[in-house]
Amino acid sequence: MLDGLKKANAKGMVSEMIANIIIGSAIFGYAGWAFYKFIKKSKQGKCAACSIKGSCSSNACGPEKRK
Amino acid sequence: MDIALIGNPNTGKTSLFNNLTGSYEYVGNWSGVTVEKKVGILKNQRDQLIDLPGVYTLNPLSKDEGVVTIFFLNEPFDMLLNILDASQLRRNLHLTIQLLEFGAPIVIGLNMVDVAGNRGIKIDSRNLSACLGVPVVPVVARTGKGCDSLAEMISAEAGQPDIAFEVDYGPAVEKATAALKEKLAGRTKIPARWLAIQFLEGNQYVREFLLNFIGGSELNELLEFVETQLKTDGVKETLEQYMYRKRSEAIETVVARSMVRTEGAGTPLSEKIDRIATNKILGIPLFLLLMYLMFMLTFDWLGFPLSDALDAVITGPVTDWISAGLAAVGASEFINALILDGIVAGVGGVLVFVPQIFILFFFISLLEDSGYMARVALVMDRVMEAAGLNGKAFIPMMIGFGCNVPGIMAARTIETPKERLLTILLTPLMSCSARLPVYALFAGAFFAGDKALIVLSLYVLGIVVALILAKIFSITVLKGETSLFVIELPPYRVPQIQALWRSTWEKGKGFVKKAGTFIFAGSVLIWLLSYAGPGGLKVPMDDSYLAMIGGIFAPIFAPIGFGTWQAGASLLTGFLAKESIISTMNIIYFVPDEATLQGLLSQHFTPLAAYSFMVFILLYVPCLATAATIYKETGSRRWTAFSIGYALLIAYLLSFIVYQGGKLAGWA
Ligand SMILES: Nc1nc2c(ncn2[C@@H]2O[C@H](COP(=O)(O)OP(=O)(O)OP(=O)(O)O)[C@@H](O)[C@H]2O)c(=O)[nH]1
Ligand SMILES: [Mg+2]
Repeated sequence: MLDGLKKANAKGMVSEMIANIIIGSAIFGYAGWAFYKFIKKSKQGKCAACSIKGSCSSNACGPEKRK
Repeated sequence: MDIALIGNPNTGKTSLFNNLTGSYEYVGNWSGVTVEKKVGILKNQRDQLIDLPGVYTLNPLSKDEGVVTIFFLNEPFDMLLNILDASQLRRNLHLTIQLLEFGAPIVIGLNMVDVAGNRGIKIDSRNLSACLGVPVVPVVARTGKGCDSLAEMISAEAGQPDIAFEVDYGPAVEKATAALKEKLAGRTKIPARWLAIQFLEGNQYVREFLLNFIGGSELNELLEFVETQLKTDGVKETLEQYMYRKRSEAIETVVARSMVRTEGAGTPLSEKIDRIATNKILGIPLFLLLMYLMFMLTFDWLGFPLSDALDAVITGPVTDWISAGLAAVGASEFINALILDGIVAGVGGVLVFVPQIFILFFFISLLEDSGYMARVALVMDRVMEAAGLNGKAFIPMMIGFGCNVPGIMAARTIETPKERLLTILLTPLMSCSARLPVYALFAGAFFAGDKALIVLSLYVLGIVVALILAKIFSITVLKGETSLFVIELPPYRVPQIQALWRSTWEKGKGFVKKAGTFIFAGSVLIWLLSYAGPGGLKVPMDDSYLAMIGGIFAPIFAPIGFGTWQAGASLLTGFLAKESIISTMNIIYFVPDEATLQGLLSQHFTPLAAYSFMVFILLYVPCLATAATIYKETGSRRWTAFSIGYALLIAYLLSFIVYQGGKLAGWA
């Protein structure tokens, strides 16, 4: 009886630990990915808050090429 | 099939593009909204539609117009879709004729027939079609009327019969054409007559193109030949004027056959409004008053209560659900703190401002779509000219109020290189929407009575500093010619609610998205830095890594009123994106809700220091995306570095003046 309770408790702790690890790694994984994407996008001059994003590939036909 | 959409500025090309491709590109009621080419797929899933900047002629004046000429010379396309503004037919036809001379298959979309109708102008599209020898389809791009038949026409007209219409430029030009054709000897597919006409009109891009095949001296000979020939024929104008006149004459005959004026409607409403809106004395005060009303709505009347309500939801039920959920899965203390003190505080702290940001964007969309934008440029012209720029440069700056990145791109419409560079360098001083949360927080904490006035003062400060710097730069580092100020005043339009909402949403959704991505990531990082320190995990925040990093900058900021590690750390994150200043502060001063945060802030800042802090945020550095755009648009590392350097300097200087000056005046 007492043994069983102990086991259940241990099991619960394990599953709690697993949940913690999953949540933690999901958060850090997503954060890392989002950070990387943001820096990459910003460096291209694309601004996530700007109304013409998605088509900011300005140098495709930029007059700068002429110079 | 590639179809190029081409026409005069502000004739509704992009509206039509959006309609035909089902996309959403930037539409606005002034000339020069589109500054680069955009490609979309037609609804038949087969053909590509290419939206181009508007041009009056193929002989370019500014960089965005050059995009079109370069496109013509270098890129293959199968068909032209020429958009005409029915209410401005005469002027629009100048471009159409140049397109017809090019000889590619062409379909004409006669847009704005509703506007023309209101002005008592009726155009017989059948007669117009007969005159020009190409199909003409009347449309209203804004509502989509006629767009389906236009789409059908495009698909049907792929291999078009030859164009019957030709302008008679006189024997000299035709001789030159023949000579050029011989010299080219079929080495290019572009029609010799078009090349000859463009070259004679002084098109530099075409001249350069021809230099690939023909020597410069030969080209000059050709030019001289036509010029002397015309002189002996008794023509007194320059060659360019002469060709323009010939074209105008041809246009008159076309217009005579296809346009019917029903009645002269009285003074158009636009003119009546403009008597006040562009009035020399009233113009600027009116603009300031409108801005003030906008801020009243954003901060006081509407935005603030909404944000408050949202804040209550986030700090109340949302936080409760999350903590209940965390307790249910048995989250550890670390995870608990990460989510509640880090993510919820950081992301929630930014999301709270969504209502205010949307109200601001709504007004910017209204400004763009109503036609008032061009009026403000006109009104500002006198001030701008005193600063070595002209009124047109104010348009990119106003766009910069939303986000600096498209503002800087919009500087492409400015003709002279010097003015364009100046505009690019100074647009980051315009207070973009990402800086708004900082003002909202600080103005709410320290200047609750006159939030709108304080915010207005910051926006105006940005403009004034930009103008003063423009003057300084243009007499020191950036000498060069100034261009003449010419601006189209489009008729006022009552914006459609749907379009207005669409454009507000397009701008605002970026803010929400950024909160879910970058701000999320930043919050995790900042929280981690504040949780960990040399002493291990869960240290008191003052002993954390974040405090150490921020502490490096604290002494530098002491003379301007906020020498705390907290301010240093949040300013540092602001370089990546200005929104993160707020999320960082939320994490650092972790408190359950905005009101408490404001209370806490008053322990760290005096009102004077708070204003100095806002001034610093307004000016201190362009965000990463803006800096990258400056680099892209100027193509120069030096100017990019300059734009960052001068901003830091001027921000420090002004905050210093504000803080120390204010202290001397006894305000602190
Ligand atoms: N009344 C009316 N307004 C229109 C129509 N088509 C477009 N508009 C409006 O005209 C303005 C200009 O539209 P845009 O599509 O941005 O024009 P554009 O030709 O792309 O302009 P640029 O990119 O500057 O060359 C916007 O305010 C549109 O809402 C129309 O058929 N009728
Ligand atoms: Mg456009």
